[in-house]
Amino acid sequence: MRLTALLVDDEALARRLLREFLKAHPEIEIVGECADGEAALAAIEALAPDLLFLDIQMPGLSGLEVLGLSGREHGVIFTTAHEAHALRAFELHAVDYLLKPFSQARFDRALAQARKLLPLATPGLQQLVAAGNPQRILVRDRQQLHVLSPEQVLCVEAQDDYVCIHTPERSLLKTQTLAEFEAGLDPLRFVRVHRSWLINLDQLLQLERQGKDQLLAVLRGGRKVPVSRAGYERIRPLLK
Amino acid sequence: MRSVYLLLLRPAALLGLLAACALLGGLLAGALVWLAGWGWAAALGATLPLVLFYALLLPSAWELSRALPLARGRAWQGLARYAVAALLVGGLCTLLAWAWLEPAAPLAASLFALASGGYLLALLAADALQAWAGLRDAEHRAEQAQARAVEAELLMLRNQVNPHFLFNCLNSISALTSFDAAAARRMTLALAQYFRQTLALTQRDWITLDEELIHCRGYVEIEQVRFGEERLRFDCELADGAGAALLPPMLLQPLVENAVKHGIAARSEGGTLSLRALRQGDWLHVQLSNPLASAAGASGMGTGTGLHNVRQRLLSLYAGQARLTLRSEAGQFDVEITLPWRSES
Repeated sequence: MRLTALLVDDEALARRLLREFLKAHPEIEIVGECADGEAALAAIEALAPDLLFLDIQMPGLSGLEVLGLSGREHGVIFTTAHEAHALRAFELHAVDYLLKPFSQARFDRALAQARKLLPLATPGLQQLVAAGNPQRILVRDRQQLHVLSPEQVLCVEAQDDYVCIHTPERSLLKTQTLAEFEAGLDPLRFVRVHRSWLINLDQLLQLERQGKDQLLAVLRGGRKVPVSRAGYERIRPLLK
Repeated sequence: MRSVYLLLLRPAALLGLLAACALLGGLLAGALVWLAGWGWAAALGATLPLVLFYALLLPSAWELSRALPLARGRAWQGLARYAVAALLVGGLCTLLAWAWLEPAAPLAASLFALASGGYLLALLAADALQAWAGLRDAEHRAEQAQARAVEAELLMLRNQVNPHFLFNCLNSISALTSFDAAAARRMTLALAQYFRQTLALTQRDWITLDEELIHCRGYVEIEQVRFGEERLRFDCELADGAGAALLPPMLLQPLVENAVKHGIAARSEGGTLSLRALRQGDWLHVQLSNPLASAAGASGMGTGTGLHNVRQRLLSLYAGQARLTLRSEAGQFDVEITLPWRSES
């Protein structure tokens, strides 16, 4: 079976090494090389490679952020010199990690493993990605990349397969479930107040009762968000 | 420091004071009853207000000894100050008692002696207590400074070998072996030279700026193999004679490494690290600048541990005489170090 592969690493020598090790596997065709995260993101979408060799530390977007933005869940082999990332990935059975420097034998083993799993998505992968970097939220809107810091966010709304992220200035759509989105944020700052609403506690002005059972969270700027009974139970201990 | 009188705002302290006054007042009243044949009511009426007044005056001994410790000036001056204060307090009490009760002369004399003596004792006790506390404090501070120095040195030793730097280099060498064996060998030798030099330099307490910069250059040359020479440029400019300055080893290397990691590696287009050093009178200034990561590249920012370590080391080695300032503007990050000038000659 012929397979396509994309090599992503900001160091030319590291990409060259991958190319070298892939010589032993003529059935794998290298369809591209990228030196940074943004180029990788574009290439993943344009080329849809079967296999992705991905470095973690890169200029601009990290390898994990590339996966988060592309939503890719299969055929990923990480390459890194940082064992901390590797340990976390093994825990989640996400994908294989090649710790630099690695041997041809180790490379072959990772490749065999990845090919075996190939048609399947690895569920741990998006979990790994979601827990990536709570310091910034990345959203891609058409071809533009928006970088938000969590402080800017007012609230987040679930909309089918999307989340809609509301800031005082604008609203952005991101392809992710609310649960996945929530997993990547600081649980002391962001609280699920409703099945389809997540609010930033720092932006909360007050809770307002409307009618008999209806409770609303009033956010800075006047926006009101419904609070369910379970949501109230979650938010109450955090308000003190 | 807060005034000791603030303690009286606490109910427990106030109650304690009142109880002590009642006890002392009772004892004095008893003495009046037995020795001078007063009635109990008259005796208590006389002593209690007096004792209360004295009790309120007594904490001022603490304030006074704090403001004017016995050790300030010559020994006799300190003692004289305290004696005058005690006599004044004794006189004040006696005068008050006179106005209030018109007691017999022998009683007034003993009252004067008691009040003055008590206040003098309180002054001396407060002074001794404060001197002891000051000594303990100084010892504690010295211990802390020592601990910080040891910690900073340990961190420096650990940071000499950044494992990720080593692993990435080995990966580059591994790549080079198949298509450029000579370059692989060159990088192996450069890496060995760099680590050997690290060990040699850190054996010494002081090295020259020239030596430190040769070492930094060795580091940058290795990183240039990884990133490519067009992505990482190093531009070093020393004003006349600055290279002879003495400084602790591996002071600048972590800053250069930081700049490569967060400034250059986080930019696809790379950039130039520039280092300027010059002597100004009794000071050595070193400035290191690197371009910042582009807007989307905020992931390249570190946690600041590297800079924190350098700052701790400066603090423990120069005790506040050295300064490290950071500036981030117009897409450029600058670190500036100012050290007291030191050289061999």
